[in-house]
Amino acid sequence: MTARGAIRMTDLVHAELIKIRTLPATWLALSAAFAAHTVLGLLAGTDAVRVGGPDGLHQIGRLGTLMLSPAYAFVAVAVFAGGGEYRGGQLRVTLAAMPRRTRLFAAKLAAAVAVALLAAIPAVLPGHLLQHAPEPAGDRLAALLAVHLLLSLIGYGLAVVARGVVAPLAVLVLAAVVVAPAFRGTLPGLVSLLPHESALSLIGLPAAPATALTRPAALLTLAVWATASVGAAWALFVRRDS
Amino acid sequence: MTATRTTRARTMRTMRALPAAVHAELIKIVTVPGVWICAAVIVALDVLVLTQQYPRNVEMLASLAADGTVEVAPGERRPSTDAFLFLLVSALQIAPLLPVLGALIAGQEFRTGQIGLSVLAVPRRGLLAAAKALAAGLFLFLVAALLSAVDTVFVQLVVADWEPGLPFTGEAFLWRARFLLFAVSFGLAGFAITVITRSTLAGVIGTVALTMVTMTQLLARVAPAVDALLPYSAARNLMVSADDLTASPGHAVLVLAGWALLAPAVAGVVLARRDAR
Repeated sequence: MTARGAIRMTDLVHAELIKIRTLPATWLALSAAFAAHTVLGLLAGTDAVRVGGPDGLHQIGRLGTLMLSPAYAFVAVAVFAGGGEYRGGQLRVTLAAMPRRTRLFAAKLAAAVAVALLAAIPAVLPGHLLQHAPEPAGDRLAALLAVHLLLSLIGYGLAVVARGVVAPLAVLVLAAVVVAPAFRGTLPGLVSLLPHESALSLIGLPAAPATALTRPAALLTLAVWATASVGAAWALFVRRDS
Repeated sequence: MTATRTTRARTMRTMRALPAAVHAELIKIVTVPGVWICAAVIVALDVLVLTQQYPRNVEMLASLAADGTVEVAPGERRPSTDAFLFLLVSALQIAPLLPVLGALIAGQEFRTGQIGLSVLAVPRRGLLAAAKALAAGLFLFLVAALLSAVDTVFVQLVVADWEPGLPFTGEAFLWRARFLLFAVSFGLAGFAITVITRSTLAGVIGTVALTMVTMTQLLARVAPAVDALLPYSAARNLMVSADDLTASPGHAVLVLAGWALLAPAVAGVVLARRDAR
């Protein structure tokens, strides 16, 4: 029974899309992800530069964490979409305008997913084409896009749970670069299930053989993380003070 | 003459006001829940890492040979005392999280314009900056000391039946001093980047980038002299024994001391010069 002039779901999603589009952080993060993906793709494709490691020089394209690092700049888009409104009490204004929280959360999530899906393609594609110039690998591209979407969802959920933008990005990045290496030797099974490690497995560049998952298992693990993160965010968003 | 006396009197007043200002900054630090959550996570991760490594350390002691060496890695033997003294700084693996704590401590002031009120309460900006750096340094020192104590407990558990005095020799305290120097100076680097950029996120990203450059050894081959100036590289040069270090331990001590003094000094100058926003 939609009354004339009532707020439709599409209006809510549209409003959320305007918020994401008008946030400078969105464009900054997207530009950073695009630039980093493109430069890394070019370097990996031409094999022009090699990186020194403890056991000799490595091809850039084989270093999973380095190749995946632009994804964390991309995740910032979703993180700002989820946690940006908690700054300066903006969310209270939003809630006054749209008091039905489940609907609002669904609209916010839909907008964030739509942006992550659409923005991932321009962010990833040039670098991917540069890296695999002769024959672009479709399954690799799909895996890379899935990683961007699922990591974005994890970041989005964490941002709502933490009510800010610093904690989710710090947790995701530090878990990948500080915590995981400290446990890789002693708890490889557990480490392989962390978001970053399963993302590396999904794009076919696991950090070590011991933390490698098969592609379906990695996709499932990331999907479980994303569902848990968004689910927790939904439960808290509906019940908690703004 | 009068000018000198006035300057000296002002310096004296500042020195007398410093303890109160440091106390105020410490209250700000300990009343932020995020600071305690972050500190608890760091200590918990250290305990977890050491719990996981404990069986390996017991095995290491079991591999003690007649020549006094133990097997630290498959096929690699080192003097047993060196190997166990190095375990006193096991928290090195988790220490890259300390700059996040420094960034959280510094970032609180920039979230809701709090810094304006702080400047109103302590109008002498040099005093405010010094008090902030000292309070942050003190808190970071205490967390680092707690990490060091955790490491000591786990080493003592392993060596109790072999050489119970090992964690309490002069050499052992020298190792702890090295770790504490690194922990405080890296933490203050996170603090300083946050004050300079007025953003906790920038402080976290900046120090993660510093850590990553060291961990991936991006610069170690290309520009070892630059690599040696990074805090985590300096910690490696100071405490890890390997063939591919980029500077001597003495150089590393100077680099870490430089970070601990220069980073807060630059932050202080920036804090004193800019609008209090």
